Amino acid sequence: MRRLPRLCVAALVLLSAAYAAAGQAKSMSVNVKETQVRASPSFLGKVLGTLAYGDRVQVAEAQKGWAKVNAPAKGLAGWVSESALTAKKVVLSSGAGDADQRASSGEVALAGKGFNSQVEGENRKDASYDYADVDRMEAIVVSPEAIEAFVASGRLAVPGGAR
Amino acid sequence: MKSARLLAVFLAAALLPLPAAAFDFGKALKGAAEKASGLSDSDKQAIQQGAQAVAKSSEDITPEQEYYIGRAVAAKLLGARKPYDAAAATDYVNLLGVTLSLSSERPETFGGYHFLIVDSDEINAFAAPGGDILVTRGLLRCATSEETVAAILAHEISHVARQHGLKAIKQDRLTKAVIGVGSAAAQVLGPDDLADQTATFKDSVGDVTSTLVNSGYSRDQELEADRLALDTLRAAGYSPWALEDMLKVMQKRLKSGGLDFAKTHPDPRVRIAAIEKALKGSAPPAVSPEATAQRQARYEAALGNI
Repeated sequence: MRRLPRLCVAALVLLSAAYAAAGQAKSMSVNVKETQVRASPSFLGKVLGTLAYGDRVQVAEAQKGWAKVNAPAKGLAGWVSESALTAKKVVLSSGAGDADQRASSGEVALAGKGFNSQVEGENRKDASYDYADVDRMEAIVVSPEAIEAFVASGRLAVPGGAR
Repeated sequence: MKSARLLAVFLAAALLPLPAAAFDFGKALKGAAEKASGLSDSDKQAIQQGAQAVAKSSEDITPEQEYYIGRAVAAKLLGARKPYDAAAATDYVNLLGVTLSLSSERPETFGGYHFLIVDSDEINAFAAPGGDILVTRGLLRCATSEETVAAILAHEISHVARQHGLKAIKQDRLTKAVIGVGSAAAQVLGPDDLADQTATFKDSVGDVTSTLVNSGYSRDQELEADRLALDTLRAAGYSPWALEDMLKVMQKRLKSGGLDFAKTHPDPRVRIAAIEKALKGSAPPAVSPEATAQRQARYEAALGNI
């Protein structure tokens, strides 16, 4: 009988290790050029750092479109929008990031071949495409501060609310 | 004995909620084996065949490929159209659009959302894959307030979120694009492969632009974009009824048989009926008079003379 508590403790330790492993089992990749890791699950949350396309993260929990992640390679932990993550592995066309360089046969990887910057470079030679206007358009950056002020003065909402 | 049974029950109960996918030993072992052995040529062949088998839909297009296709679609559209050169208007549309996108199904895309006003009296808008969105002056002139502009942008953002543009790309091009050409390990395309891939790229871009300009999305895709736009508007703090207000103005201004929006979109009356069904007489959100005044003032300042 006296062994029961000790056995239970041992079982608990084992189980919590199992749960921790289960919590870390969901590995995901960043599927946007760059995404912000935030202190809270909100687009107005404090930015702790940035992850790049192909970076691997461990998802600990998820809520309302946000994932709480750990990115040991970048020394970052915090919240990332789920729209910036994929369960697929990202295979980069160039050697950057900590993504795998090749697809394994067991999973569909997001390979960086096909339509890439090299193909765009070739396509730019075609005068019927106006890339200059597109570059100008994409150069417009809307700052988090501008969004916050816009939302506040118009009494609008941002998912997750204010910081 | 009793304690052993207790322990067994305790363990069984505790193990029950453990997610089934928590320990995929098979996968882990396979991954480890692959890392240890590297890839043989037959493995590579298997990968190619595997890729061919799954490269069936637009969902296999990577976010990076979507980005390059979207840029090219926007570039092609802008090759035949002139941007409206007014910084205040452009900045306002971008601020409003990006704020709305945060309340959409897909707040982040590879290259983000960007908005450009096209200097044209035509009533039209084009959502290129990945988030490059073009809106004509003619369409913005149909709006009378910030929330009616928001309704236009929310509809276009929804096309991007659901990747309607990519779905216009023909099957055989997708297969080539997803698999790529040459060996799996090739990082840089040789001249022949590059020419081949660029040709497929142009064809894919052509599929999307001709859908945007000539044939239009399917009626189902348009109604889906409207439904999502209602959710986005509501979540962002705007009245979803703004979309109906917008369509009522457009219904008056669109010439049937016209060469713009009327050609590529379902009859506004069909869309209005679907919106009324979806909203079922729900009341618009209460907005304080100060907030309404603020919204109207900034709308007038940026787009009052569009």
